[in-house]
Amino acid sequence: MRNVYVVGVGMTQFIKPRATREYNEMGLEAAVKALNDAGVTYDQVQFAACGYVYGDSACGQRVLYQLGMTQIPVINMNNNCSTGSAALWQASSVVASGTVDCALALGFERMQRGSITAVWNDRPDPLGPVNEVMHQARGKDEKASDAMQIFGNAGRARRNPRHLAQIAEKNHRHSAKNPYSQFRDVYTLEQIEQSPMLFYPLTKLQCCPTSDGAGAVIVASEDFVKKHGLENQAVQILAQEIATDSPNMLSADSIEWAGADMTRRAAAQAFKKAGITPNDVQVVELHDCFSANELITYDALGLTAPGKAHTLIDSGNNTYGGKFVVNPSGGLISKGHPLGATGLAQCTELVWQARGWAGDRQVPNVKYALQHNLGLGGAVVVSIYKKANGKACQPRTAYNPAVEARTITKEDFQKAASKTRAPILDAKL
Amino acid sequence: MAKVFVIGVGMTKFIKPRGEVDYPEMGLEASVKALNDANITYDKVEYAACGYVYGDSTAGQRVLYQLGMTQIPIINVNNNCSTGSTALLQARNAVASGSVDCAMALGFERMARGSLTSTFADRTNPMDHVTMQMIESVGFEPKAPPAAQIFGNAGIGYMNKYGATERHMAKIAEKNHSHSSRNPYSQFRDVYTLEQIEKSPKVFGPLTKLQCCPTSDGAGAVIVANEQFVIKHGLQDQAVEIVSQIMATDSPVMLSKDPIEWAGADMTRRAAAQAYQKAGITPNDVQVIELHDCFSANELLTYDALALTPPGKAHTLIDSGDNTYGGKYVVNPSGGLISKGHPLGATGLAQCSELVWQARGWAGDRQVPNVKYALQHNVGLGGAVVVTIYKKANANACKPLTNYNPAVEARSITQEDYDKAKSTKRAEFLEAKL
Repeated sequence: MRNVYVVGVGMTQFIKPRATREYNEMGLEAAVKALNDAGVTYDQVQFAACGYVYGDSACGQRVLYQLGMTQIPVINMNNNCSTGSAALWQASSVVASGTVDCALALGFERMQRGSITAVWNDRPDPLGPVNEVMHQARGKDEKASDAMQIFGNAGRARRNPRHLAQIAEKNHRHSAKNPYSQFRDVYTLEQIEQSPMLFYPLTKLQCCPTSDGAGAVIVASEDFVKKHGLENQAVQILAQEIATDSPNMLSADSIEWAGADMTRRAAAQAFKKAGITPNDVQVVELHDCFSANELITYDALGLTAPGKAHTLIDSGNNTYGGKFVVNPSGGLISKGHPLGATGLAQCTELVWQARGWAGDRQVPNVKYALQHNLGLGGAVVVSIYKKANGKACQPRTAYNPAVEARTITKEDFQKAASKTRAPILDAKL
Repeated sequence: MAKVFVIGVGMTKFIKPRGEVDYPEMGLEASVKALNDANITYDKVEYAACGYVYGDSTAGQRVLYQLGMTQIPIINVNNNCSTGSTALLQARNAVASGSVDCAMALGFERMARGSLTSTFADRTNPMDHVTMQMIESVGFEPKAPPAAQIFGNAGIGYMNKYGATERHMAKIAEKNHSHSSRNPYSQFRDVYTLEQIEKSPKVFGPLTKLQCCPTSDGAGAVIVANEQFVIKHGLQDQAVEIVSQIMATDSPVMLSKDPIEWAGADMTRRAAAQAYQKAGITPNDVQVIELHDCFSANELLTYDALALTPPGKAHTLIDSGDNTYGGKYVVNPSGGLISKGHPLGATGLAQCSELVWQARGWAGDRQVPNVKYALQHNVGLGGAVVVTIYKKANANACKPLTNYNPAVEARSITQEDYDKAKSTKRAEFLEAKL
């Protein structure tokens, strides 16, 4: 298996799901930004994995055909909230295998307002089994969504709800420095605790919103990196492991309902593959769909000893000045969570951090970066990144995309597009 | 890249989409059959790609967790009507890359009655571009199903450009209905005269009702493995090699004014040319074909796009009888999509199942003689085509490892079948009760 490098990243600013932007518009923006970042055109892409949950089949092609109809393999895929990382994992696998030198992982989502519900009500809900185990054990709340109850119940296993509020306070505070974040307000701990209680212990400001947005990542082989002079901006994917549920997920332990065992497995395999331990990591983007999940994930990733997740908060070791900076982007809670895009937005943030482009939210001395993306149902992807060399690099675009969220121009599109296109599909930019 | 072999196949009988059997049951049946066919348990599967179009995310895990919760990578994939082959491609790549020894491709679909419609009407339809091209070029018939119009117009295009006739298309349907009478998995098994087919209700253009595939519920599963795995488990005599497998998406000609191209013919040309080249063969080396006859018109233009005939001569394959028993090729011995049915996620895996049974010589009274190379073609508008070429790994005869021949008998699964297939790592809550 060959080494795989991220050479280009891009994302849209995440926004409220008011159907103000179409998926093909947002997907195009993210893909163009990633191509511009790498300084290549769509003609270089030899495989594309497109991740989204809500949409008819072949939405991936609908987005990418705007860039070119080059006949490359394109697949559409999903794994609930870890959809974006699943697409990245798939694209990386194809490069690692030697089948192609350059692949694209694209993710986008256009969501409904309100909490996530099933689209297909006339057939078994894939989350039916865990919901049933949970309702039998804890009863059923008629108002809160199943996901909120799952993570809320996992949160109840911990004794001190204040820790959960502190996590949310941190992530909202971090997001003030992220121009891509859906929300950028800073809140006091009291404001977070006093916000409406949605499902004990989760208050509104401790829950991620629904969002519209897109992200894209271009991965390539070492040969490709050298051929295109991308050594100084390339970030290696040292390890990327995907794990699905173990039988513990259906046990009586509420922490397990949230998929913690998937995280434990994927993380253990990833650290082993990368040849490092959690102590070697400086920056982490993890799946804080609800504050409770960030807490249990500290434990499941091995950032603390088992049962000691809350000590990371008490010691300040989960934010600037501490051992790890967790969710410098503002996490899902503040940045937003368009299901198909999230995993690719996490990768984008970590690549910017590894390159040293993150401006006033830069984590100091980044050597190894850790990503965790989780989807109930389910699947977890844990990835470990390391910059390919120790040299500084500047953005190839006219601005630093890590600290400025712009839309794309016609010129940006033309620099990215293939010549093998059908003009009727050209976006009006 | 490692060689990849199909070692196990299984499918459910395709049925009318009345929601009588749900996707966890259908998906489980197909997977158990494939595992029983290979005589292994789910513990041996190291990667799974699950294909379906209609359903919430992680429906694949919902099916497979009944067999085991072994923490292997599982992804859910779709590509409209070529979803099943897309899943197979993913599984094959996982083995070919060397990352796993054994992988599963599962496909299932529970469909709504009536023709295909969009589920998400509040956003850009992925087919808006070709639909617009069609409307501008030839107009739109408000009462006819959109898919029937795309393929119907493609058929008309082939008639106008090359002199094929409506009767040629009707003959394709007549052939496929006739073939299906010998396939116990087929949704419909009636035989029709050419007149009955031509006189069935008109749907669009040359397409009458009996020339259109139905909507269906069903599932299929295929297990692939590398050579080392085949040898270790003594499966050499039943293994069928995937000699080549190519996916292609649309070229800009799909949005030209030529109606033949709206049906995605250029994807087929490209994937087929690369597949033959990779396999080191020509169409003349093939004896049996399962191709995407969603509508009779698509089978016609696919003869051309697969280079079974010279360009523009697809209809000659019908005139000469070279598309059925006694002729050069047997196309769609299973009855094709037209009669066997078309549950979107399952179709590509059902095509593979049929061709593997044919390669093994298990197909009884629908057996194609002297099968050396088998060819599969699965297309989804939007789009993607997968073309696959198969060859039995050795010339030794083989018998089913189950106590009946699944190629000629469609049974449901028993508790014993399930117990033989399941992993040791299970949650009691998800145990199947059969």
